[in-house]
Amino acid sequence: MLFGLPYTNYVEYLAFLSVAGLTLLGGLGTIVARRVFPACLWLLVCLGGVAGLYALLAGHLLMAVQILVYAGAITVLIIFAVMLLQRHTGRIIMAENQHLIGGVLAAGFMATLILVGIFTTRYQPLAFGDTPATFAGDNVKLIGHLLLTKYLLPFEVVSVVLLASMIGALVLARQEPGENPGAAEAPEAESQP
Amino acid sequence: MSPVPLQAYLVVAGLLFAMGLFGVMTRRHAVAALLGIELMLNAANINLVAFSHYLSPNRAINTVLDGQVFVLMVIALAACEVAVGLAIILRLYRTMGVLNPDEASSMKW
Amino acid sequence: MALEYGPVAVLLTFGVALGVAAMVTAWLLRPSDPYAAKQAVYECGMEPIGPAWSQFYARYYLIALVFVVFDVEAIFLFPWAAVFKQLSAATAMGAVPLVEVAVFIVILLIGLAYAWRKGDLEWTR
Repeated sequence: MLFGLPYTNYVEYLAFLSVAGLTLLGGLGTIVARRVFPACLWLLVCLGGVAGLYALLAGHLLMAVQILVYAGAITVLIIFAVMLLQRHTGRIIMAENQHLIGGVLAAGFMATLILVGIFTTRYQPLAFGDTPATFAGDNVKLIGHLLLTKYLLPFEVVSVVLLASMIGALVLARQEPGENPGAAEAPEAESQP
Repeated sequence: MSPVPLQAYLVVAGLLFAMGLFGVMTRRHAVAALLGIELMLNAANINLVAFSHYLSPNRAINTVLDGQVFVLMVIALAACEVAVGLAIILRLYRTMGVLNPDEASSMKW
Repeated sequence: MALEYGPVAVLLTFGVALGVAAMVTAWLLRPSDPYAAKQAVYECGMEPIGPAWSQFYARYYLIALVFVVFDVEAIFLFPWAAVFKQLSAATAMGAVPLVEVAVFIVILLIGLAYAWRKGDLEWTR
């Protein structure tokens, strides 16, 4: 006990503050970095912070998923695309911000709206969810149970969406034989091996 | 003093959402705008997990995990969205030679 | 519940501290003697032509795309695998969990077959 509080509370507050700070720092870096590649790395910082928030909210599986899928796969895909575009243009692509006044106004208005909404709402516990007591306390099993029973249709539909997006993205991104890999009016001669 | 209140998580998510909106609106590079969308999706995910955790009747064993299942779905859809979005950006660059979303305006008249 | 992640926090702290310590030590100990040749891509040998990232092909992007889709699939299989034994032992369920996931996987295998058939998975074409 310290100042009448159990130690775990201090640990929780400290963990929350550091993880939330990491998230917001990463988000800020993502939107103000002048080049795209550092922006991707800042996004990685932000995603790690969000994974920490999931951990604090007892989302053990989600923390792993966040790091595995978001940080491990989605960010890699984005970085691949950035490198591909950089290869085609042959120069470092800048990503400065434009329409600054409009962006600041819209984001500030949105933030104000959300904050007012958060602090004027009264929250109370819900009573929904009728999960069997067999899996109580075991997050992963509980999520698996929900996926296979209550959310079975979304589970199957996700696979259809994945299939559609995979085929669509393959069709869009495929480089046709004989197609100029660069832009229609590429500024420099491509040194194609 | 209670544990970290629900509002703290909501504030973080709200600020992250506003940042994402700013990024989407102001970025000159289509991929960077896509990063803003990722921020907004993550903000929504934080909200879902936080509500699921704090509004369930028994927080100690946390039996209500519907929000976490939603987040799993959102992450899967985010993967789809990124894959298709990046493919569209690559195709846009190959056919029109532009990366700024404002300049790809030939469908507008 | 925050204390359950104590080992993770300790690991993160030591991991970051070790990396920072290594870089700070190198920064303190190394001599500073910059000259132009050190900036070259290869310190000796041919002068490189073009940017350093010119060896990057659209093919890598297609492979990464297929990888992302199956990464997401693996994520959905993990909770299923954790609960499979108990769920299929329940009297009413039987082989239902297996069929549910089989449908899920077969739908995604169609995409893999498409990519394979179209030659998107080959390194040279």
